[in-house]
Amino acid sequence: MVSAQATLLAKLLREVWLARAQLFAIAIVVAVGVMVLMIMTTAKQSLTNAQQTFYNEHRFADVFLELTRAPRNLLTQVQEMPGVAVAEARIRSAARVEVSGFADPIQAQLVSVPEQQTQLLNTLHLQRGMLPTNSRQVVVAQPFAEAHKLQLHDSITAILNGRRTELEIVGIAISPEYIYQIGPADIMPDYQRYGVLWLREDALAAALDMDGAFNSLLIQLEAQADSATLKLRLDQVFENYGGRGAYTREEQISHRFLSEELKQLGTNAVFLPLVFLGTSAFLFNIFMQRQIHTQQQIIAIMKAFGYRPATIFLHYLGFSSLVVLVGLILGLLLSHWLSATMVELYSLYFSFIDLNVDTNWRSLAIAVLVTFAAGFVGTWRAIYKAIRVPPAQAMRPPNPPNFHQSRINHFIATMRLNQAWRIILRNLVRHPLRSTLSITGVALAGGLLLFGSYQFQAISTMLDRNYRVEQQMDVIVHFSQVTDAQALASLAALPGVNYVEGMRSVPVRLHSGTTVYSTSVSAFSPDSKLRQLASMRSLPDAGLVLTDHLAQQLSLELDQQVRVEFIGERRMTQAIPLVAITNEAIGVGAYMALPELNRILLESDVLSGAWLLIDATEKEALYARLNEMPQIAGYSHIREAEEKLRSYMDDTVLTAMSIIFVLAGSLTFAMVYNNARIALAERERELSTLRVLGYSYAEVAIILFGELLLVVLIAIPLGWLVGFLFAAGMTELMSSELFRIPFVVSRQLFGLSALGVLTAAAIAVMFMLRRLQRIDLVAALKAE
Amino acid sequence: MLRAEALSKVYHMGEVEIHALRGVSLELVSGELVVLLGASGSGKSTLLNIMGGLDTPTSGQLFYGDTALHQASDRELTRFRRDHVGFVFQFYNLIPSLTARENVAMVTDIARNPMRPEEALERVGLSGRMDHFPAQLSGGEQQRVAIARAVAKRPEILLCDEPTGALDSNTGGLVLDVLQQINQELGTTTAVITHNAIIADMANRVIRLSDGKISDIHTNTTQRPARELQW
Ligand SMILES: Nc1ncnc2c1ncn2[C@@H]1O[C@H](COP(=O)(O)OP(=O)(O)O)[C@@H](O)[C@H]1O
Ligand SMILES: [Mg+2]
Repeated sequence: MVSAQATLLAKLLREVWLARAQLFAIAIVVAVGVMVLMIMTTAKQSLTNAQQTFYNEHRFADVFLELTRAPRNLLTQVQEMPGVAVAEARIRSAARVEVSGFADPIQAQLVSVPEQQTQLLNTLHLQRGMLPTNSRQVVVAQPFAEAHKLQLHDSITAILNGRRTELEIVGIAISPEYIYQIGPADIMPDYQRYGVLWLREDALAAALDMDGAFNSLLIQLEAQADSATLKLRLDQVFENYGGRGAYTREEQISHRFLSEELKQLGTNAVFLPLVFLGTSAFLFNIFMQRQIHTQQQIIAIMKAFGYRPATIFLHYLGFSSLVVLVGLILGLLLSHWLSATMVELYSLYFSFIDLNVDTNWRSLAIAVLVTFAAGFVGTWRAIYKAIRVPPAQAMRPPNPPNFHQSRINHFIATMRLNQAWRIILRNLVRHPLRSTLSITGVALAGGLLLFGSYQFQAISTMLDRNYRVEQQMDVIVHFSQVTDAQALASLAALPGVNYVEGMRSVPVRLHSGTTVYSTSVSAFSPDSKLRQLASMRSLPDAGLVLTDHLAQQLSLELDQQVRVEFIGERRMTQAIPLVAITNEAIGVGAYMALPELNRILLESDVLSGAWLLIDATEKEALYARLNEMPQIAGYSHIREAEEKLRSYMDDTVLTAMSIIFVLAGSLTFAMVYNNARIALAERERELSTLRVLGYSYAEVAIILFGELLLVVLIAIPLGWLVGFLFAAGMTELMSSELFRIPFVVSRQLFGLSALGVLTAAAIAVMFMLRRLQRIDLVAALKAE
Repeated sequence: MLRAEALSKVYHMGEVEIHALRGVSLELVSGELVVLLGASGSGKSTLLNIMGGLDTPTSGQLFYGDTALHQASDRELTRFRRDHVGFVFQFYNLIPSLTARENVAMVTDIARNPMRPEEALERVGLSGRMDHFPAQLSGGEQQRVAIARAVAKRPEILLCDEPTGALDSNTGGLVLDVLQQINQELGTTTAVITHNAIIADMANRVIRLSDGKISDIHTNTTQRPARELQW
């Protein structure tokens, strides 16, 4: 028996070697599936672990509240509220920062750390140095320090309320609150132009006139506390202190970005591997069917010799086990190497204490199980029938494939086709399941191509709309205080300024039923040249305009009255009709005509900021002058932000697109190549006959590949549909308050998807053409 | 019309050289029916395949009219087969996905002066089964479809390699009868391989091959009708 096993093994290995190209193509598909699964789950696991560690060790708060100003003694009242475990008050403020040698404007978030006691919540993780011990010292966020190559004891300048303060860097740190650091109006992190700074509380209190007061509240909940009730109570208590509405982690920017990323990783980790492993199971099944079909007599002989069906089955299972093993090893090697790169990539965008590559062993186990099961099922399905045939019957030569008069075959006969296309069509409909699955597989690959490239096109469209149409200004300036419109004249006089427009932004809370939403109303002139609202010709003279996402969240419809609570310097509540809805892609906003806003607030012609068009060659001179002006709280050069974003996109798109092409390409290649191999094996005799009858190679190739061409041609539009649906699904899934990806699928994307599929198919066909030429006519006709 | 001079064919099987043909010279005369006899392995198929442009000789010459086939390219051989030769094999080699009629049309579609597929099938007595697929036909019927397919383009030469090898005697007789009729009615030069000596009685000439050489050529004064042959 031992030698029988050895013989079977030798047979297996020899047959595997004969079919090596085909089996390797299947192994590649397995490998890609395993690789994607492992990379995605490993990235997810690693990020989740790092997030949990950071949150726990540095006590990330559960509930947050920003307000205008409240006395410190209110904190005791908060601490006594049910559900509150720890509450901490602090001071937070936006500011401008200057780093010597860097001319562009820098926006910063200043956050206080307590003077005496230790930090309770959102505690800093110092990577170097120490916490500030006097009001001239500062801790800077690690990515900001790195972007500017700042060292301990370097100094930077903060401009707060018009006062310049020189600060010494004593520490470099990260915080669970700022794992993802992004400026308030940014789409992407820009560590050079946005940073977080931690100062002692007394320093901020003095600069902002906040002695004995606070404007930011952090709360850690007790286990099983009801955050909704707490939020309501907090809002009541801080109503008169300019409370902007309490919110939970879900609305905290950094947490939110991170969760979105994790969510998407989770989706990809299921979907992509499923496509690839499913495809490999299918390819395997048709391979095995063919293998076993040609070996019916061998199986019969083995049975006649007394081999048990289980032994025979195990023998044939060897094929799939080998393929799965090779695919697994290849996939694991690739993922081992790429996971580290992927995690490293994430560490560029998320600052964690330590981000380790945590391999998700559970998903590995799942991958092993799923792929082996796929091979098992593929083999079983193929061999079941063969084992059940009695040996005597199986040893007779098989009858010709059973084509018979069916309605569809009759229909094909009546069609005005040449015989070649009759052969192609009849073979296609003879194996409906195989044909359907082939079409599905190629369609998925095409869909993947469309969907993958769609993401980049959508983002690019979003940038175009945001920066080319909606926001045409070069520089946005924010005043420290509401200022008379005459300030525009002095801005216009600055070097390099070509054009100026005033604007005003007021923090509000929008009420609709019981829903409250904190945002700000942006007001500008209805004939503004620099600001346009998406899908609208101009801003109406009266009434409120909302972003569609916001209107939906508040379940507001056109012409409804919206209760607008102004919570800036002037507090009042006013019902204003919703007169238009705009579908802006980035952020959620409320808009009004500037004169109307000022009228409602019972104010004269005042502004909170301005938009400038500038001559870029004079920007340094302009920055220098702006930096000197105390009435300017901050400014940003959005044209430069755009350029930075676009160059980043250009870098990323190429890499990501190549990966998608490789993924989709390998899927299509494996599908077409395997089908062609099987078709050739099944029909070698038929094709040789045609050659004998005087058909040329080209004519015979058309018959062999016509079926595949049809599969691909049917699959291409289906792929478009699949990709289109995925794109729509993702657009829906990804739409959040931060941004909504516009759903635009251009003709190029359809072309790209088709081109990718056709290219991969053409490569597979080229491999097969060589095989076709090698067929020995005489030999093929002899054997039965 | 087809003239072979000193044809040799050597197959290389690893270390071993197999001399399948050792200098065979032979001419097929227009309109004759030749039977090639010989034991298994004597080189009959090799000779027929080379004469039909399916294979090329190792040495020697082959002319179809003035065309030298022994140095023709694959493209020229394809052309030759397409325009001038019809083949019938032991295992029929029909296209399983095409009906009888469509199998014949496969050839008439690319031929220069074909008969209608229906006419070809009528000649082999299969007018009633034109829309059947190979799987629905008996062995003899399949072979007759194969013959209809081979003659439908009105080839100058019809080459048949053991056309009755897989058939019982009655069906085989029917198939040979069809071949003989076609040879007589259309004047197609026909060569039939067999290892069954009785079949030789239907031929004009009988050529015996042994060990890659022609051992005997015998001309029948009268041809027996294939219908009368019994084996
Ligand atoms: N493709 C081939 N490769 C190697 N040897 C071959 C090949 N074809 C035929 N032969 C050998 O050539 C000899 C003649 O074969 P063949 O012409 O088929 O004989 P026949 O048809 O008379 O039985 C045989 O010994 C056979 O084994
Ligand atoms: Mg032979």
